[in-house]
Amino acid sequence: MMASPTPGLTAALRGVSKTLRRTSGQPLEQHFQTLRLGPAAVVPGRRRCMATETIETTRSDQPGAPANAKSDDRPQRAPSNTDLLQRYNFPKHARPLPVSRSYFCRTPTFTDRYIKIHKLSVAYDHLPRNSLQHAERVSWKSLDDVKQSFAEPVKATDYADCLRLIKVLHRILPSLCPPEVTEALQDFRRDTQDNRNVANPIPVDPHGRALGVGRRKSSTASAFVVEGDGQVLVNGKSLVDYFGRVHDRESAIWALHSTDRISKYNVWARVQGGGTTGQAEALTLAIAKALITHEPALKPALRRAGCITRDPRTVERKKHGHVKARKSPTWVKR
Amino acid sequence: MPAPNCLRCLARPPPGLATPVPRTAAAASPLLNRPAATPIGTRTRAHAAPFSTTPAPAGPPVKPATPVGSGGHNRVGKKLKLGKFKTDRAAERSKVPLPGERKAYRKRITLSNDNALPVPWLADLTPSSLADPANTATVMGLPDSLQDQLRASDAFKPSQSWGMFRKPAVLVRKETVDLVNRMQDAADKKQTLRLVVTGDKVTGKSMLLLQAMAHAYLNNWIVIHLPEGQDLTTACTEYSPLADTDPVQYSQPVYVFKLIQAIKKANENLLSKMYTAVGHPGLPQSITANTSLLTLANVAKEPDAAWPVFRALWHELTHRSVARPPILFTLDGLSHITRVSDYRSPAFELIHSYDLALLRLFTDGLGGSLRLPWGGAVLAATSRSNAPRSPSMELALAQREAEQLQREVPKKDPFFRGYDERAEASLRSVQVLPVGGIDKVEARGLMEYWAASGMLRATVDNKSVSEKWTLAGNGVLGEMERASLLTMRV
Amino acid sequence: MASSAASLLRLCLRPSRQLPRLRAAATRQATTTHRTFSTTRWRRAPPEDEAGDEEGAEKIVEHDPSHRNPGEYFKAFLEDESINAEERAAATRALKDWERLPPSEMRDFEKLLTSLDEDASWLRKNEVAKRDSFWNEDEADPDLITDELGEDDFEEDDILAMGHAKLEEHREMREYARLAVWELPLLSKLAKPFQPPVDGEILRFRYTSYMGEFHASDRKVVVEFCPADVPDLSEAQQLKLKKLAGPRYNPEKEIIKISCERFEHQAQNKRYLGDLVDKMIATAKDPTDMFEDIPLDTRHHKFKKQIKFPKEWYLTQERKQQLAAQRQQALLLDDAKREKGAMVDGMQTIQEALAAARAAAVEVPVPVAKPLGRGRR
Repeated sequence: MMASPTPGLTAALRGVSKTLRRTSGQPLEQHFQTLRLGPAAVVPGRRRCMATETIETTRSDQPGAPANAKSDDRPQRAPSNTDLLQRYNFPKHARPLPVSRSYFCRTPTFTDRYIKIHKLSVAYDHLPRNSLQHAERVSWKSLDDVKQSFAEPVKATDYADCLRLIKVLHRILPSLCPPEVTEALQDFRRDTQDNRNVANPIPVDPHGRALGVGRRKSSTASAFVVEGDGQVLVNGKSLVDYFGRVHDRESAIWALHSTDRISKYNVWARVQGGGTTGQAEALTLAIAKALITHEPALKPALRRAGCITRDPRTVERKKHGHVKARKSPTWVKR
Repeated sequence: MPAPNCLRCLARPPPGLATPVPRTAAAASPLLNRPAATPIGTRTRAHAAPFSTTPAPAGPPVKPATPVGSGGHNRVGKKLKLGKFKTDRAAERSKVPLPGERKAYRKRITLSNDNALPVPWLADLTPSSLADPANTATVMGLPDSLQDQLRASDAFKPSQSWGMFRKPAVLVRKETVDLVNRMQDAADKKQTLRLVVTGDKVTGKSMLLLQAMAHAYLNNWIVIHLPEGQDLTTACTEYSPLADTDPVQYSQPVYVFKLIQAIKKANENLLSKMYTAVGHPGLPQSITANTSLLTLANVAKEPDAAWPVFRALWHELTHRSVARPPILFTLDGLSHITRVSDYRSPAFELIHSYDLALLRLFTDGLGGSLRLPWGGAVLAATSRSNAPRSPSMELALAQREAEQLQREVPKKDPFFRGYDERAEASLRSVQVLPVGGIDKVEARGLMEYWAASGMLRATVDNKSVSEKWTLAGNGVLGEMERASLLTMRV
Repeated sequence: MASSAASLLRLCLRPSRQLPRLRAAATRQATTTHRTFSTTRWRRAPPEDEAGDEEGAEKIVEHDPSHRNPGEYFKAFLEDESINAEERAAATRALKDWERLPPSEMRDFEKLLTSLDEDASWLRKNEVAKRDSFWNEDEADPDLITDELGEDDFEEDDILAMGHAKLEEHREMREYARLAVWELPLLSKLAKPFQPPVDGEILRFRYTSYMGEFHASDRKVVVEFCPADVPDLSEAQQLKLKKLAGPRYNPEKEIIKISCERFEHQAQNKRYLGDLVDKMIATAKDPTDMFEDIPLDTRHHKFKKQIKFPKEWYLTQERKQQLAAQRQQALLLDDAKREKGAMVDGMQTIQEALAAARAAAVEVPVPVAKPLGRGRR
């Protein structure tokens, strides 16, 4: 059912609301008809967060019933609440009981988890463990993360104790580790595991090229490094044509220079953005990355030459109340 | 109430007050106070370029006389002195260089460095060594007499680093051998080689011209060298219309006068042994047949007579009846002359460079309409720095190069107006010698020479050679120098 | 006496139907001049034809501000030729009355006029929104959801108009949310699979739609086609077509692109473009003038230089061998030089030269002064 194309919003904004209210009332009412409650909306047995355990829950929990209700009669009219209650044997009056006793403490979710981990550590104390070095490196949630994920004011000491147990449990040999332990620890792992964040290896393409990308300040360089005799082309120009300063030329090919590979590779690069210095130093990084693909053993040498690390320094932003990033306006008497 | 300014200070200067002579007046009469101070080709270690276009003053500079009328009433008020340690800067400044001194310093050419080590294995050039492919990638020294000749014809440039080594020496490259062989071929067949040397910045185009001249001098050619096209077309030397020419041509007497001096100095031996075939009665000093050409050249004692003498000299050198040596006619900075010059005709219209008589002679030679009966070469080199854009020259050279390589010839832009028909016509049939970077073998030879001179503090092996070669954009000569000799790093 | 003064005042203050005629007689005033006794804003004078309408609504016309008192006013009134006899008589009478007044009362009257004028001045001031005021108080709020009309007659049986408007806004939003959930998925039924253009379809049209909203450029139609695709065109004809297209030809993509928004409707524009392309093709086929003397003009287009990885750098087998040979040669050269002792080392050369210089300096015989004989001076 398509709504009549009322110019509703704009009209309302123009303030012609009184007349409209009369005309557009009808279709809107009809729209609400489409949203009326069906039986599928009330699923028995699904509990809200404030868990209540009722006496009759087990009796009413018939998985077939809602499915049937959904399939056989998509009702012509909305059934009243009393109908539903009768139909699915909802208790009329029940005293809600908390599922866990920790419901009454400050941090029910965390306490539940903590108790479980404690029980597990006692139960599986006998299992053989890895040494610290060989255990898989995992980043656990920090206290703040835990507070946020459980939405509870977890105490630092409690979490520290819990974390100690977690780390002990985590060292259980993976082949022998029971699934419930893995499951219990899952809640305390960070969502992003930075240990697993490993850069994709750069491939060498069929033409023998490796493409490295480097950045510096606001420049970006992508360099194809291929075996050759020491020719360099930057944006289609020779090194001399592209970089006027000898220093820039040197820093552009510093990765090759410092590893004594100038005469062994050719470089074909695209550079954009920034100024000459930034472009030259972006090239350093790009060439170094591509060179590592050809000769991984050069990585330590390149690191010593300072060609691996991206220089994070960029222009500091200007602040209000300052003339530049840090410079204050001149002090003037009155 | 006293006026803030003395009224007499505001008045005009009194008529008796000496007004400073404007520099233009001095420039207008160059004969009065010129060349005696800078004789061409005197052998000093460093001296002013003989082709300087501004006249050097004859005596010590005249200090502006203190005005007569500026006696007592030029009151200097009390000066506010801030900071007791500040000294008077005018008093602090040492002697101000004399007029022309700075330019002379800038243009000086130093050909040797006593602190550099002599290279034991450096061989001097011989008449055949530049044409020998076996000498490729070696550095060879210039013999002393050749140095004098080259210096006289102003072949050395201040931007070239001659002053770093004990003795001037040149690298023999593949292009050199190629060019010299072509020259020699043409001379042997009594033909004219017409060729333009072109290439990127600091790739050694002028140096190639110098090598061609060195070869010519060593093989007893007559060499006429126009060191800079710019000097002839930027309206900084005098010019006068030539009678009996239509359309009117213009001679540049002062420049030609200097040029004759240079030719005389550089080719003295050869000229003194040649004798005139015909008489030249029209000159200031009548010359009969069978006079030495040196005498003929000596007739030009002042600029006014320079152009007729030059014509006579040229006529003699290209005379068919007597055997003459081949001629090498060279010019550097081609793009300055393939366009309209900055000179104005009496009707205040710009004069095309090709209407300047000396350049007309050169471009006729380059274009092929002028033949050298005893063979020789007309060479020009382009310049990439300090060169005006000359679209027709660029296009013509690109076309010739493409034709030589049998590639697709670039076409003229039909909607571009800046082309110059005459320039195009003169470059229609020249050969083009593109000059690029040197290869690694040549680079190695050069760097070994540098290291042996103590100028390069490194072991010359494959590693260092290829490093400098790459840094210099695949062996661009000037850039190699910049990267290895002119850096402050030791 | 006092009553006559009051009646005079009334006469002056009363808006009169006859006064429009006075206005015509009065010299034209600048709009900013102050007007005695007026509390209304300045309005533009009605056009002449309306002014002549006798039965028109009563027009309030102000006094000529140049008259500081009724005496001056009546004098000026009487000078007017167009008034009728009645008016003239009344005015003459009134003027006489005025002149009979004692001077002190005249002065009082003038004072009264001045003070009234000053007091009412703020009413005549033009309302200008204060741009620089703190909250832009005097500007109308463009984001207001009600029009604020009729809000004052509130009968206390409903929520306020603002509330209604807010509710309406919510309903609107919810309506669209419902549409998004229930109706939009149904649109997929209308989806058609993409049909690539077949051989004959050389024109590609582009239209602009603003989803039902009015926009100045929703009528615009753009057509693109490649001259080489046009059937039955020889090379020369294609070239002529490109020349005809002028700056609409892109020499890099080899595409002619023409747009039209000249007509009111999209269909008209499209029709025009279609006709134009037909005409161009017909002209291109016309052999009378093939524009052979005019070269193809590409000055409007800036060619972008394409840079490509050099093919000779590709690491093929030959290239590998070539590189290996080069390296081998370089190494051999190095080795040979090293063995022969011909390897030039700059530092070493300098050291040797310095050592030689030092040795030479030592060898220079130091001139020993001949000892002078005793007693000789």
